[in-house]
Amino acid sequence: MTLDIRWLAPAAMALSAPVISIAAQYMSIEQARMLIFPNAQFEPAPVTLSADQIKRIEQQSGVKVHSPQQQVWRVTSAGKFAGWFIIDQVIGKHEPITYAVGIKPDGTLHQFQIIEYRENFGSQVRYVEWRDQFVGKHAGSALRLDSDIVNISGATLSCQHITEGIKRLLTLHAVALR
Amino acid sequence: MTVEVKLRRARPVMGTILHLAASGWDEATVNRALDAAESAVARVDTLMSFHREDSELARLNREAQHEPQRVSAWTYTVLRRAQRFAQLSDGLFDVTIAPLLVEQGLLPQLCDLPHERGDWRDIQLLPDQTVFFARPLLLDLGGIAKGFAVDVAIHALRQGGCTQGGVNAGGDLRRFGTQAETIYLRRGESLVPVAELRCGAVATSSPNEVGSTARAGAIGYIIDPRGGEHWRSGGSVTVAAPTCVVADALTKVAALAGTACQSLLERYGAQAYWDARVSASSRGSTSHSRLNL
Repeated sequence: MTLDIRWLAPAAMALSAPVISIAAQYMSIEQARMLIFPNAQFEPAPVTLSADQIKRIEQQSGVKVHSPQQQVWRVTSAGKFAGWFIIDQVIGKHEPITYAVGIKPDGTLHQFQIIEYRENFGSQVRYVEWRDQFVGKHAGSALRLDSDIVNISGATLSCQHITEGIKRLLTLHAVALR
Repeated sequence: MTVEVKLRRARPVMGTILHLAASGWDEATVNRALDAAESAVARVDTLMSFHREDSELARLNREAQHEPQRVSAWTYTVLRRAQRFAQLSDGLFDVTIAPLLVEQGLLPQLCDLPHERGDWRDIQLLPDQTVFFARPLLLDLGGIAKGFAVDVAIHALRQGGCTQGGVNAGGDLRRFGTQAETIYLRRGESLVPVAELRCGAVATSSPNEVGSTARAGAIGYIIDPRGGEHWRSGGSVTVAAPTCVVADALTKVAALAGTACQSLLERYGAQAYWDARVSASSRGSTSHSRLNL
C-alpha cells in the first residue's frame, strides 16, 4: 500500500478554467442489458400510462409520476419469459440520473444499474483565494480538467431519488405490466 | 491488438453514491471484478450501517452493554482500527459520539439513547472477535466504515485482475494504477483542483456542509467529541493516505487538532492539506498550517 500524490501548487491553481458540467456516462444501454439480463432477447414494449394508472401508481408507491411514457422491454431468455427491462430517469440534486431496472416475472427487483449520472458545478472551476494553504512537499503539476471528480455532493438526495424511482417502477409493473 | 477496456459503475449505498471505475484487458474480467467490489461494499453496509436495525452494529448498540457480542472479522477490524485512532488522537477520533449526532438530527433515533455519556475507552475488544461495552454506548462507524468499504472494493478490483481502478464514496476516494487522476475540491458551487493522485486514498471534510444539508446526513460534518461542538470554519481539510480508512479517520483528527496532529500523520504515511480559512479559525493551531510532511 503506497501513497503517490502530487499536490498542486497555488500558482497552478491561479489558472481559471471554462465552464464545467460533469456528465458521467457509466455504461451504454446495451451494456446495462448485458449485465442485468445476459444473453437474453429484448422486445420493445413501451408503456403509455392512463390517467387512472398514474393515479394508482402514485397512491400505491407514494411517488409522483412525471411522465405517462415509459421505455419498457419484454425480456426472454432461452425461449422463456425472463422479466422486464425498464429505462428510467430521476432528478439527482439538479440533473437527471438515467438508470436501468430489471424486474423478475414475479414483480420483484432483479437488478439495476446507473447508466448516466450528471452533476452541474454552477458556473465554473475557478480560481479562489488560495494563498498559503499549500501543505506537503510535492508541488507543481499540469492541470487536467477532464478527469474524474472527487467529492460529489447532493449524493444523499440522489440515493433517495433512485430508491423512490425503483419503488415507482415496481408499482408500475404491478399496475400496468402484470 | 489488445486494447485496455475501462468500465464504470455507480450505485447508491451507505447513504451516498458509490462510483467505481476499473480497467483491464477484457470486459468480462473487469465486470467480474466490479461485481465483486460492489458485493464487498454492500456487505460492509449490511454489517456496519447505523441505519439498518439488522446490522451487526445495531446489535452491538443494543446488546453489547449486557453481554459480549461476537462480530464478523470485518466489523472487528474496523473497531480495532477505530480504537487505535482514538488512542493515538487522545479521543479526537471517537466512534461513540452517535448520541450527539442523534440529538442533532444527523442520525435517526432507532433505540433509546444511553442515559450516561461513555466514550471510546468503554469499548472492550475481547479475544475471539467479541465486543463488550463497559457502559451503555451508541456507536456510529459512518465515515470509517465508508473508508473501509472503499478499501475492500479496491482490494476486490486488484484481486480481480484490473490494471487500474478507482472507488469514490461521497468524497472518500482511493485509486491504483499507472495513471494519475486530478482531485478536485468543492468550494461552494465551484471545483478547485488540488492534487494529482496516482495511488492511494484521499478524504475530505468540509464544515460548509453542516447546516444546509445536516438533515440529509450529508458528507462532511465533524463534531468535537470533547465538547459536542460542530467544527465550524470556512474551509476544508483534505488528507491523503495509503488507505481510505486512514484518510477518513485522520481527516477528522486534522480538522479538530490542526497542525498538532503532524506526528500522527507521519506515523501513518499521510499528508494533510488545510484551507487557509480553516487554520485561521481552528483552535490551538498556529497562524498558518504548514507542515513538513
